[in-house]
Amino acid sequence: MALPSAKSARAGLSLAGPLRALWWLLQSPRWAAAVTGLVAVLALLGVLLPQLPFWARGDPVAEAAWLAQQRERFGPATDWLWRLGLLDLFHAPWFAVALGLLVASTVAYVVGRLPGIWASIVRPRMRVPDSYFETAPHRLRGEGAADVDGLERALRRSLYRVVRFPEGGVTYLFADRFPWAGLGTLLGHGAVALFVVAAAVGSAGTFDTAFLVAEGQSRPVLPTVASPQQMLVKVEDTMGRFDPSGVPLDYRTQLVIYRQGEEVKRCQVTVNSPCSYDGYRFYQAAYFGYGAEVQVRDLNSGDVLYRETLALEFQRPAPFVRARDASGNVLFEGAVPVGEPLRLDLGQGPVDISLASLNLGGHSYLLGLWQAGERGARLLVASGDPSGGVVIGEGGRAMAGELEWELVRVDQVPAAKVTDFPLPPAREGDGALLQMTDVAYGTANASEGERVPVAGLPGTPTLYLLGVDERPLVLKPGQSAQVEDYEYTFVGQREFAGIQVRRDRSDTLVWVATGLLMAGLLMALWLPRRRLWARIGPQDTALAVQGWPEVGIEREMERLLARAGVRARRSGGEDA
Amino acid sequence: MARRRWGRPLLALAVVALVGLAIWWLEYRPQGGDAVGIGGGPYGPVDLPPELATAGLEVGTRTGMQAPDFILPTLDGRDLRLSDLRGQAVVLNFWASWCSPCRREMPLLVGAYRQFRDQGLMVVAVNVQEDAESARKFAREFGLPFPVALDRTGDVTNAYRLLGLPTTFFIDRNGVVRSVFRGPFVAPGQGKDVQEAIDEGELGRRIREVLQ
Repeated sequence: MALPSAKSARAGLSLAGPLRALWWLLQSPRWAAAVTGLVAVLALLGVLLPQLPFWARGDPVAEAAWLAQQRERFGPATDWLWRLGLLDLFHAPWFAVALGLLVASTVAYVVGRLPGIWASIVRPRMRVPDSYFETAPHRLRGEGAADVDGLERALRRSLYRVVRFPEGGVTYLFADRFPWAGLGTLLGHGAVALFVVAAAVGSAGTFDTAFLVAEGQSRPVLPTVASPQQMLVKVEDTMGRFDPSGVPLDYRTQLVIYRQGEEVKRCQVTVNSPCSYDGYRFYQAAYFGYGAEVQVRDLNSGDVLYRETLALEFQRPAPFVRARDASGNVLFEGAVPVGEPLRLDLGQGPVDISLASLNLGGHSYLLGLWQAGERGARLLVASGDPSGGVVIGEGGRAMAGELEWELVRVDQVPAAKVTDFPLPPAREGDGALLQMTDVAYGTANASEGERVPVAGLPGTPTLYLLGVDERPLVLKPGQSAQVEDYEYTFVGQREFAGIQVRRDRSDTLVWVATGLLMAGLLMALWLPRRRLWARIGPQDTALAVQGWPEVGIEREMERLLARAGVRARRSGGEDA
Repeated sequence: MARRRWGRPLLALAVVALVGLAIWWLEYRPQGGDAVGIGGGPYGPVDLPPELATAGLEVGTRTGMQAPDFILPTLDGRDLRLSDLRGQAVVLNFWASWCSPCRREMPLLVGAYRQFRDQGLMVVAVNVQEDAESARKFAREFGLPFPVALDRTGDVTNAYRLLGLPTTFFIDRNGVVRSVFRGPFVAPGQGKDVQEAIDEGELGRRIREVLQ
């Protein structure tokens, strides 16, 4: 980009005022470099700093929760990072302004350079003064008069168009190859501007929504209740594949899209392979494997009162215990979900203890888990009165009743508190606490993935329903339990697919910009423009060449002279 | 020689063509899914038969208006016309299986239907824009004993000017809208069974109103 001279700038200012000055500023390469650098630094910051996730944007509660998480990392700096917009950088107004300046600068450069480049294409300078053959950066002399016809043939063979100017005893040639390649750099710049415009169009006019759908269930895409364009996304099956350490390898969902009650598309989506329908793209955005489908039925009427697939989206501590009899036989080994904490005094001050009960060998045992500060988890095991129980630390063993108990570790099990869960009419409470053990991401039951135990022992999932009866209901898939006149059934573990639906109106712009960029790069690098001037006198032949990239220019001149029957000679007199 | 002469431009063209092909493949390749055409039928809102129109009453969805008539297919393969139910009080409930509040209130509608059908109550559950399979699964899970109509195009839903799901219209024996309830009826549980929830809640009160 050529920097306008101070003189012309002053003249422009007097003629056209601030707008003209702005135009020159935008064309200035220093300005362009500064803006590009600014955008690059901001983009780098946006990559390095955590950014507000899409699901929290516009939701003050989720936003506050996310910021609270960031405070653990950035401390007091979080607030000013947030106020500066650095934690939602790509949606900050000043980032849009920086992008706008970049577009304006690029467009100004393209528009400013176009007339000059166009003129050099359609009206190239065909004659240069003889002195140019002495000063051109790329020049070569040959001894003796070249064969003009031979030189012209060699040039034409190399795709040059050639114009000959005989003048007395001297012949001048002008040769031009790939003149349109000069537009390549402009195409590249135009592509950059178009990319930024596409980003702006994308962020302004993009439809973007995301939701979790359980297997066998559907969700509408558009917010309008009964739009003719409404689509329903049904998840037939979803799966996650993980490596043995639990790192996700692949999420995959079998989708069916319905419009107006009719199936219009059936496809499989992954994170990187979306499914398209009617301009909308359906991506797998997330996977969640801890779902439980439960049903409550009124046995008097036979009617189903409740049937939902619930996401067990929280985690609760559960003691993983091992109980042995006097012979050393293991009677129980697994995670035992506990209830919500109660404040009890066990003789050494009050503790927030979570209780569970376990029936083994015809005896009922009471288990209580609490955190004893820095000493870690503690488990109370009592076969009768809690005050007569034993307390075990993590990894410890103790006798309670006739069994030896061991607190192997404290697991985290998926859980959900459901406040509107139907309780038997005679029971009062604030809903039910659901916890699932022996559940795995990608079990053979729930998906086709690897078996990766998350909590408890891998195997058939077990649902613990707390709050509907005095004791927890412990249910395997398909099992039911009756409490008063209500029947509670654990239908089975279900997985959820997080589906993101996008309609990006900037898609076409992005592809056009990509095409322009590729074309521009190809034109500039693979089809470089070369202009050659030749002066063929009776005693010598001189060549001068302009072109970029400069690689191979010297060799090309030597080759041309050789084909014209002339030995090339360097400026110092040595043979080339 | 000719090959060498044109080699570079041809290579450039080939690269452009390859890039274009890659873009096309990424953007427009077949997705492995089968596109299926959208079918239609003679269903949707229809004019009220003249003999059933009440002089001086407009057709509309507000209280005191004649309920808009429609014909929709039902899950059991029949056609349901609202005006054919004239003489019965109708609870017209719009729902979808993905709508959690709809799922929560449906047991109440089932219970209410069982309680009041002998007094001339009909419940019509209009499924909004879902496929028949999803609607059938839902009806089977909840044991819906009343007709389930399928509004696949959403035309009837739009004619009833719905803003959200669930929405329930209470239509008396003369086909007049007596009340509209937007949102779910309070579900049983937490110290109440279905019967109590109906008797003590809005649903029972509004049903008694249209049965009068």
